Amino acid sequence: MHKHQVLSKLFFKHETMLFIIMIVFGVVVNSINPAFLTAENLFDILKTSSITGMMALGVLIVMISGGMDISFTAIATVSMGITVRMLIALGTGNIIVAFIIAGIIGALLGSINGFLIHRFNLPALIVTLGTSNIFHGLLLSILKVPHLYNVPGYYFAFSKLSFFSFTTADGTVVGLSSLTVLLFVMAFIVWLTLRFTMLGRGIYAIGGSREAARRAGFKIMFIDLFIYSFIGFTAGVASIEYVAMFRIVHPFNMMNMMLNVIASVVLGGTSVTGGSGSVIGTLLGVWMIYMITNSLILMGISSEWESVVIGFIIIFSIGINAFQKSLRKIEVKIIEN
Amino acid sequence: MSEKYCIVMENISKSYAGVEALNNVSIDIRKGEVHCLIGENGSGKSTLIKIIAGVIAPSRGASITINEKHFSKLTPIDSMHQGIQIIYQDLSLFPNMTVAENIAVNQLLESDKQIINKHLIHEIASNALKTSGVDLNLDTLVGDLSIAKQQSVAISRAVACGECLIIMDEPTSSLGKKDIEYLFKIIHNLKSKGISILFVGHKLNEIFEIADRVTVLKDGKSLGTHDIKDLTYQSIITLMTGKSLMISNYEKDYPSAEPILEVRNLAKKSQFQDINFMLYPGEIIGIIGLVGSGRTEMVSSLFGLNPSDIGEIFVNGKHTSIRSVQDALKVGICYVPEDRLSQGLFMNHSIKNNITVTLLHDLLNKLGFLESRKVDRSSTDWVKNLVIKTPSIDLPVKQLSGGNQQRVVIAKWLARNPRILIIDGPTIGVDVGAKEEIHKTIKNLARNGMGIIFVSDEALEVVQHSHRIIIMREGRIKEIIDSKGVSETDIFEKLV
Amino acid sequence: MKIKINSSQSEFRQSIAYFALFIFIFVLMAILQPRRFLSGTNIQQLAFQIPELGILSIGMMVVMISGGIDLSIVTTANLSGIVSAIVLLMLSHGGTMNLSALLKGIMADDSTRSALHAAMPTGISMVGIIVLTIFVALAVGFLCGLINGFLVAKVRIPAILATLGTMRLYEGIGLVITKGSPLTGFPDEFIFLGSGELLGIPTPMIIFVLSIIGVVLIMKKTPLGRGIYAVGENPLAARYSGLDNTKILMKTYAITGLLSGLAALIMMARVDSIKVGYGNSYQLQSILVVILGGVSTIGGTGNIVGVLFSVLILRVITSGFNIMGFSNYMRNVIWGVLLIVVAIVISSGLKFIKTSKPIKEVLK
Repeated sequence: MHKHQVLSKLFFKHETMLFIIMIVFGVVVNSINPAFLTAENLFDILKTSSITGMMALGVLIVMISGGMDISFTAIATVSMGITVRMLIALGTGNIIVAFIIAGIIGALLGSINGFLIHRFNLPALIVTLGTSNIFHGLLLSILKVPHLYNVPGYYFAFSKLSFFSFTTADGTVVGLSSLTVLLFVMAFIVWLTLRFTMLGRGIYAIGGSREAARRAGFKIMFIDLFIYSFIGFTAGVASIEYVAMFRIVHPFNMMNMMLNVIASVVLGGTSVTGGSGSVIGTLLGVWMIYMITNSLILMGISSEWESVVIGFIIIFSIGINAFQKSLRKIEVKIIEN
Repeated sequence: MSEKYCIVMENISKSYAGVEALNNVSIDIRKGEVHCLIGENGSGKSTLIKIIAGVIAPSRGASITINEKHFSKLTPIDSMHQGIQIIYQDLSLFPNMTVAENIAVNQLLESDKQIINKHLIHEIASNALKTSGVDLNLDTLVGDLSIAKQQSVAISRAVACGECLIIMDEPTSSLGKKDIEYLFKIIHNLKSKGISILFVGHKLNEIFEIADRVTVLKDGKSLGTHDIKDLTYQSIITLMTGKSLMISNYEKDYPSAEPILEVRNLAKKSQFQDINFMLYPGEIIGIIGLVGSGRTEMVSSLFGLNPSDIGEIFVNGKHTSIRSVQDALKVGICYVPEDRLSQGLFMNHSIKNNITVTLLHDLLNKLGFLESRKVDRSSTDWVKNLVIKTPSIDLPVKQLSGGNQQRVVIAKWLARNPRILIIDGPTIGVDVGAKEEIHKTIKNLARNGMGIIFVSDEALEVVQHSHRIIIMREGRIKEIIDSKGVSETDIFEKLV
Repeated sequence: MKIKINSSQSEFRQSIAYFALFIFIFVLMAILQPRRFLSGTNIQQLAFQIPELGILSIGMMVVMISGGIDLSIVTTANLSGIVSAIVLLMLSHGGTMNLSALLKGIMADDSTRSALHAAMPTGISMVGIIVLTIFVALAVGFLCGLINGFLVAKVRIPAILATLGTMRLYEGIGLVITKGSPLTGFPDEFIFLGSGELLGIPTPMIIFVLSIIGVVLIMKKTPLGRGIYAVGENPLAARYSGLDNTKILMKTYAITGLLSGLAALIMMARVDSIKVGYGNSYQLQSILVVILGGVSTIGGTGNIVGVLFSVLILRVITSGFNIMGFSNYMRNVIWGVLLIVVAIVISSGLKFIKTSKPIKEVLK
């Protein structure tokens, strides 16, 4: 018992360990390719990872509560597809309206998940596997031409916005991208909610013990609906960020991001069985994943390896987490019996 | 209603599917008293407390008066608002949240506050800790605490909004002696603050230590409320079982041959030490000890579930090493676990499959496949032997009654023809009639040469149904005595 | 104490229900498109296509009975197929092919393909090569499954996440090897496995039936099979009963991996190519089939009859959809809806099928 307590205290501050690993990693990669630790590259990582980061915040909430959602990329794709087309058809619109509409669509789709899971007590995996296919399939069946290359200029204009810009030694101008700022804002809101509201306590409570949460009087239905609507909302917002950055509406690209998002959250220290997880850890996880994929490119390793690496990371980080936990559990069980 | 009473309940009845769980029960609880509710399994205890907590509604005609307010039934909110809190046996805590958060959560939910901060949580928690007299670090994760400390967190949580009555459902079932003392200290503290405690339990020695008054339930009816001063062990037992005290008349009818099992110096860090005893073929040993005495841990080490650190085990004179369940099975040791449902049965599987799961490798045909004829025959034989009431061996076990489920688990292990059978809690959850039958079966097995060890909570059981009794305390064997001429009172005294 | 339905009676009743459902769907499709659905070619096509989904589904069934799930069955199949395809192509073309050319997708070019066909050796040595190919596919599948089993049983990662990770991992390895291009140009003798017939029965169907027999034997007639049911139903009790949960689970996932490898062979042989991403829709379909077939989502119960009928039902629906011109995406929508509806029905319908609980439990 004592040995494991010490071990888990060591890993306890998962976030600090991750941060240290990130720094070490950065230094190592930089020695191979000095282009890595440049301001330009780092800010670029921040910018590009914002999309994943936004969705990761949603996944974080779901995982803390002990749930699961594999439909969020489908929700993102659908929100993107509907919102952009709708605004084009209406002839008006700006980036803020786009964000709001996509967010609402995402939240609505997510609430369907929440309703089904709560009302019928179904496994979240099964429900979201089903809705993922339903949402994505409907989008692709209804739209004759799923790709959209001519998007209004205000999307890209948004991504070009940057704050606190400065000029580096070699003349390039770098700044904090609007996408990153958006991520920070959302992260802050999530952090506030988790820390300072009963809703936040409720999310952790359900993750700790759903039955105890029910007995204590938490409004389980409300919290369930909130969780799944929220991940839908963040997926919707992330989808507009995607359009802003890449200037296209694509029916498949965001679908492939799912595993990266989940890997980020898991790497960030969120327990796979629920009950714990932090915003800081998630952000660090997102950046770490991006650093890894970015460094693969910089080191000239072909992109196919990304899947392999991500797969390894998921397995490895969950593995350590799960193994530790199970050791503790077995001992406690035998002693108590 | 005088200010003496915290809650008065009259005409409480409740039926489920035609079976009466409670029949016209009346009970009153005074302010600042520790009121014990005792009764065997199925007596209606848990139904009654759920009605008080508002989780269940009683049948019509019930009258509940709390703090001079009248109710015909309660909702959880009503109950909470009246200052009633219930602590379930599993404590219902959040292991991933801190002590402070766990303590404060009920009150926060009740007050319907949405925005919270650490100061508020700490304030609520420290106030509750002051009232309950518990001293804990507010920022520790509850999952990192021992069971006893977790319980004090649960109590403090109850205290945070339970100004009137706190119901504790079997609070001592997982506690060792020191922890029980700690718990009782907290309870005394609460008493002095005028909070009443409704303590549901069944261990008589504890009842005598903590209770002011006792209400006995039997088969859904109340047998009255008595001052503890007016009761003795004998009178309570007589009330609960309808039988009078029996002194063991179990005759030694086995030849003192070579021991079938010999245990020397068995020890495991912080669980048990200095375990030495012998078991003879045909003998029944009853191990009794409070939870925390190390009895289940020691006994599981004999079965390979919890291998010891040091010590030697001899089966039929031969030294064996038991580090895994397979090792134990190889030398003919079988273990019927305490929690039949979660540790012994596959609820959705058939009786046949449950019985034969330990035998699989013995029921193969020449090609290495399971022969259904052998499987069926084996199961049918055992169903007959143990008188398991079922129309078919293909019936899922979950459709059987508790007593029959017990028999299936026992059948499963007897089917392996063990030399030594260890039974943990042979009659837990079984009604009185079935209890006798199970012990009759055990005695028959012993007569046929099996060595049997059973672990029990009930002094009466070990006194009546064993040859020798091992009394365990705090991880050690306190005494090994012959059961002849011993009464339960003797045992009680030796336990504490 | 009321004791109602005998369990084997209810099993029989369930089988009749599935059979009825299958007939109903079949007839429905036949009515909607009599000429094309009931045509000889269509029925034949069905017979050829059923085994792929069927084999993957019984693999999924085994895993789900053990209380887990395997999201990596399709990528395992793809990887097994890719590796065995390389072996097949390298060996069957003797020295006339080098690996890098192979992997650059040169095979997709028609003229190259016919040229290489001409250079193909035939006869007994080909049989040996094919046997080796089969062995490699099964071995890779087995290994992938074993890794899954290790992660779930020893490292104790929840099956969903472990197989989500390996799904990506195996896909990644496949991508690294093939860079996304297909491998094609298999010898005729190999293609026979997926498109040929023995005594009028399509070969893949024969393979499918053999695998069914194998799985049924294991699940019902061996200690391993009973162990899988036990671990799925109550892992704690399994341990207390002397079963080795770790070994059992590792073997379970290994079996599923093996079956994925087998499915890969049939896929390869049927369409004469293999590529990362083939059969992606089978992931959802196999889960749907298993749940529709009556296997509990938490494991411990279920048998193959329901699963088999569900495979038939799904394939018939797919065939009907294709004929009626539904797009693949629409079909996925239907699967999604069906999955959720079935899950709902099962979770609430159980209340009707369940018999009354013993009184003691109610009073607890």
